Amino acid sequence: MMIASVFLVVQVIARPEDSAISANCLAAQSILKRLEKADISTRINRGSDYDKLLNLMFAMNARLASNRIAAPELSEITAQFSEAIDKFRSHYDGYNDDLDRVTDIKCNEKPGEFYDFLEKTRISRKKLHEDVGKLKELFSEYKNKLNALVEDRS
Amino acid sequence: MKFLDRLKQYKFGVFLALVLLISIGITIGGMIIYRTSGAYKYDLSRPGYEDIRGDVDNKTDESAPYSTNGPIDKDALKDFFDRYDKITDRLNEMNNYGSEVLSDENLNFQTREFIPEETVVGEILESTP
Repeated sequence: MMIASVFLVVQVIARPEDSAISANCLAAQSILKRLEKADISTRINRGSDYDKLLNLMFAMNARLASNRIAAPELSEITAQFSEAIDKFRSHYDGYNDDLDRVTDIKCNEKPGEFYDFLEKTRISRKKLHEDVGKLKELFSEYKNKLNALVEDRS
Repeated sequence: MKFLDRLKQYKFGVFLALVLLISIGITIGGMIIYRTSGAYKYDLSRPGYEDIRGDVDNKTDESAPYSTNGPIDKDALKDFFDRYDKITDRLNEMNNYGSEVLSDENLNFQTREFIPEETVVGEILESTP
């Protein structure tokens, strides 16, 4: 006779009870509405500053070219920065739509659906956070490469 | 013919009706573009957004744009880096869409304990002849 025991690791997904969601969701939606407003102003300010940085990069690349200084790395970073801005804009639109859904849903009637939308919004916000990190990485890299180029020439 | 004659009688009225129809059409078209393009999302003139209008930096940059011509000398680089650092410093101080604001703790949801556990789900007995 052979006894085989089957063990299964059951992972309970961390999720509040529906009753806890229903009880607190209206207050949560109020927090999320305030957050949405704060996020819009950040989005507008960030978008405007990223555009100004991109214009500065374009201007410097053109100036280097007019002085016959080859800087392919800087052009490459500028192209990547421009793509990253587009991605940031598109991800923000998605995040904003997700946040709208979370704040508009009748959460005390549909707590499960509310929490699913909240999870989706968290993922969208994470993408946005990563975009901001990537953009920071690129504008820092541009400055370092430009500094290195100037030092090499002097 | 009678209908056209009648219209001629009320020229001014017809003119007003046409103007009204055209303006309603243009307004509806404008609203459709406003909604579908997503422009409304960033329109802080909407009701309810009065309190954050001041948070948006709408100061126009009065300095001339960085010139694409001219030598790459000390002054040109200083001007470039001054402008560049001013913007990047501002960006580094802004909210970076961190995840903690959407956490269950921040939204006051009590989360069930997360304890991965090993559970015996069955024992299979096989008898051999």
